[in-house]
Amino acid sequence: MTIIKYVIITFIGLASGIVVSSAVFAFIVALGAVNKTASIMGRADRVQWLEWMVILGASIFNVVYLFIESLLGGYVFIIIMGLFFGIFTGIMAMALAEITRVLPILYMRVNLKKGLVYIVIATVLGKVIGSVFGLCYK
Amino acid sequence: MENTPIYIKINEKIAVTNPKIYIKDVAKVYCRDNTIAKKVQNIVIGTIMEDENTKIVYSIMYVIDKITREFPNTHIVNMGEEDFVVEYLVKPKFRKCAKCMKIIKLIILSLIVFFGAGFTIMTFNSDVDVAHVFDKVNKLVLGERKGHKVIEIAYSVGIGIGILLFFNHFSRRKANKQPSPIHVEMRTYEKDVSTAIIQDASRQGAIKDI
Repeated sequence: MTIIKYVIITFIGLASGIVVSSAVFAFIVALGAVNKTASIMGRADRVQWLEWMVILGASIFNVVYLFIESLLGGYVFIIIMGLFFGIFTGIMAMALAEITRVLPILYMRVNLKKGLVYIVIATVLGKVIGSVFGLCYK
Repeated sequence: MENTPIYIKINEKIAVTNPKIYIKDVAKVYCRDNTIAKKVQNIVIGTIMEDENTKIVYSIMYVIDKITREFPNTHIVNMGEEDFVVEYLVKPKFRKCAKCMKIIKLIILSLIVFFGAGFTIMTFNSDVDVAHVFDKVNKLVLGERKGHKVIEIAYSVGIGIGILLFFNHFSRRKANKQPSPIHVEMRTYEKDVSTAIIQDASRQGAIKDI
């Protein structure tokens, strides 16, 4: 009986993992976060490689999240990690804004002809300041 | 010779490295008379003066005009796009440096994607409180026992398999290999970009037309 129980729980774990990761990464692909970044940086030719990085990143950090209590690496590692987490979150946020047509509609409504640069700068400043206040002053 | 049809097919976006743009660089030409096809291919449609990467939008009318000047008695059939973008890429002067930059860009991109994918899955896990769900499932299936993290291991393996399936990295046969979702998105995005370039040029009247 115990073996059957373990088989069942293994199956549940495997199935939920498959569905969860497909759904989460379908969202990333639909937003175009990876392909737009690659295209802007001029490395659209290595999409296959980037897909492997997605697979590695998700798998490794999932294991880290669930099993590993302490990951020694010091301040350098934590700065690098924080920076890249932030970059990706920024890309996702703007990709979401783009896919929902926030800026074009805003432009049409207020009848702006130019000045996209200032809106981008304002968005960046707002996001950075908001993030600092939100995380550092609880 | 009279009224021989010349078929030309041009893609929406073409990248060239030579500042002198020949028709053979941008278009596929077919004519029943091979010599005419050869001559048409060697017609110059434009020369780029700038010494940097530039994009020029041409109208098919411009190309037809160039061809009919050389072959007045021909009949040109357009099989491709009506407007197309020619992207001129300057040959990198410092080849080693350019290669280095490409590799650095790929490394930075890989880091972003790697940590980003990891961050996404961690935020998802803590957002839906996966640990709590696993406790419940453990209690449900195994009784009170903790289960030695079996479900967590299976879940982690499943995460990897799910993404592999999603990006269909499993199909080994090249012949019937479908492009992966990112590939599809990439091509859609590129098409959107060239459409935007063409529309911008047409609004500013910058299309090379007759």
